[in-house]
Amino acid sequence: MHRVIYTLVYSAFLLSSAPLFSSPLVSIGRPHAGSTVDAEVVVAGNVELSTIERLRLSVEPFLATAGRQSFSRSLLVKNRRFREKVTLAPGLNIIRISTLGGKHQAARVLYLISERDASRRSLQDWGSASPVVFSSLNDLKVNTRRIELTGEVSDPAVKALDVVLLDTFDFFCASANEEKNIAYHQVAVKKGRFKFALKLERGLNIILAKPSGISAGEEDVRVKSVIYEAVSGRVTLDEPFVREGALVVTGQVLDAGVGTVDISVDCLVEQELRPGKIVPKTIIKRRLEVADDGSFRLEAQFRMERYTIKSPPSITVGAGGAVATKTLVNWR
Amino acid sequence: MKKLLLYSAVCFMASVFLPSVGAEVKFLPLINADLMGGQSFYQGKTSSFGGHCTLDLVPALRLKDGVYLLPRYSGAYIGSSLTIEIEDEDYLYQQVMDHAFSLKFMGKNARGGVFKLSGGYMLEYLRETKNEKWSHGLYDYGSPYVEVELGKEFADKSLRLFSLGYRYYTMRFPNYESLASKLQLDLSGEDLMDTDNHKVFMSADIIIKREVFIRLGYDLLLSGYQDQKVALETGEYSNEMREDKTSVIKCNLGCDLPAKHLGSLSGGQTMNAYVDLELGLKIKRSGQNYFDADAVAFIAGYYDYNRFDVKPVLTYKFTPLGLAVSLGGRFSAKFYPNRPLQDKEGFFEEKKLRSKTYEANLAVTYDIGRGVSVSASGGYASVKSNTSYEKLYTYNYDSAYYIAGLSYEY
Repeated sequence: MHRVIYTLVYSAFLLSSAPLFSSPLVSIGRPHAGSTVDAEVVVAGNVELSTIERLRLSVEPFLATAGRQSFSRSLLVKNRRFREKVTLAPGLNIIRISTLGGKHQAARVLYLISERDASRRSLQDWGSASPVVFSSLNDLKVNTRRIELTGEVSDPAVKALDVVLLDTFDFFCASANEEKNIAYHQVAVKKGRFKFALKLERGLNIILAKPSGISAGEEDVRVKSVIYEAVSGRVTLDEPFVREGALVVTGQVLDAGVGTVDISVDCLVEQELRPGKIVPKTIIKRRLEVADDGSFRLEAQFRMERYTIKSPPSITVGAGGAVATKTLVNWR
Repeated sequence: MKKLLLYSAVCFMASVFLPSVGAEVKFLPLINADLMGGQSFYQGKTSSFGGHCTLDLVPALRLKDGVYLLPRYSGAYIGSSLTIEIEDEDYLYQQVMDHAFSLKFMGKNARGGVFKLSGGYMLEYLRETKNEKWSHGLYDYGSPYVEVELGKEFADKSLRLFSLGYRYYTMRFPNYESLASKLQLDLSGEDLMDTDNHKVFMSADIIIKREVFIRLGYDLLLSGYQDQKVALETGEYSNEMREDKTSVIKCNLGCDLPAKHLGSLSGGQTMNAYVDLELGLKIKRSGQNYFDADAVAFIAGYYDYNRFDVKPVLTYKFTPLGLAVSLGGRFSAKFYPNRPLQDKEGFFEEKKLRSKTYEANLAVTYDIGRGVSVSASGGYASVKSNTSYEKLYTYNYDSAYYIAGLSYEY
């Protein structure tokens, strides 16, 4: 009997050392994940149980450099609500609210837009000293929205990872204070390995991963790019390409009843008349007749004299309710 | 009905989460404990120094992402006597001990939809005198409940959270029996306090601008008395049982005041100030009447009342010191639309009864660290009425309390 009790208690202890999860017992109502131009933001939300009277608030810059320190402090909860003003560091910030025992938490990632730091390295140079190594998903493109990433960490001291997923199209367009698709996950590392699931958005998704709870520089952050392309059993798209400045899209409709397809090409552009401002734009939109054998073909010029393409163009084909997408990686 | 509801709740919870239980299950406990002591004062009487202990244990289980099961035990012992309002009427000055067990299933999806299903049992003991044994109190009660709540969180709108719920609960007072019914003089019933209750509630969290937060709430409670017949104008009792309807409208306003940096005072402290204001309106309409045999007077809707509450709280928080000071107050006005005023001898007058409550309190909390804090609070309340007839109920009293001790939160 004593052994059973001991085993139960010990199991409970082991389980209780599990990493943090996003818990419905603590909810952040604002800010929502996104970007802002205001360095000072109000963090507010509510807790499920009235006995939660104090919480721990922390704000951690995703990339730490001089003058960008993470901080934490306690919060008072009144009427099951909390609120506190915090000051963000430029760039990505992880705002975390947790119970004092640290078992229940909610987190938001907020990007503070500021002048570009000239000392920052380009994205390609990131991760040179990162202990995070992805071992799955070698393909740049995937056809499933939900993916699972696995990997290892070379430093045994790393017990958890901070993972941020940016939907680039959504992130770089829209205005500063709008809701954006920045997802944050804290991932447990067990015996040097990690595994987590992500939900991708259509087009280019950028995954940033770093050891949790440390001041990380660009060299510590592993970056992975994944393009999600939708597929359909009723319409297929071949790999698009550019020939002599023209985009070539070909495909096949497998439903004999569909006579036309709608093709649109979307990307982020910098317009010639408004330099420096990057906006989303549908640069090509056509309706095509489907040939007798079900094939269709589009050859259209980019109007590069009006804008500069800033992100991989995403091609969407709609055929009688079915949708397929492709992303053109080499558009330059 | 009760059994059916409980059975449905258990079956539903089992069907939803049992297939998911496996390696994913995580144990994420929450603990809140207070160990305090204090004294209270009521109408010139001083209670002896008594302990105040509370324990809240939630061995929460995370079944899968966003799906939680929350078993919970909440217990409290208040050793120094406390002023408690019973059934919105009578004020008792007594020690309190309660135990509550509950189980809540909670699911939240990625689109902000929230589902909660819970059930539990609460037991409250009230002890009026030292000679009285616990569980022998006249107003001891047990209250089982089931509750379902649906909510939706909105990401980027002024309306942040909307929820709607239903709660069914009963209240049983096993020791309550009126003296009249004991002597078989009261024909209204024996278990006069026992009720079956249906409560519908809704709330909305709204954020306007950056610093102003509003929570609006509405509760509708229908209480059916199980053994309290309705008094008739003839002085007899009908076969119908008493049914009450209570509506509560609440509005909580929260606002941040500009932070002040007290650099020169205490080495880089920041003082944040928050103002909270709670406005409430409670409207109770009772199906019970009152027949005064001495005065041969019949008063329909004797227990009806309207109550208006204003509760401001100003909180100062010093960071990084970890000190919080809260100054609060409450003003409450209660109007009985049908209950006439009585003079000292109990004769009815033209005017209607009303009462006012004035309350002030101060609380100081200092964060020691590692989840432990030390706190002290005190308060004074004065209830004044336009009647001096208090044969049935107490309408005028003053009370005060102080309490201090340690709190632990995990």
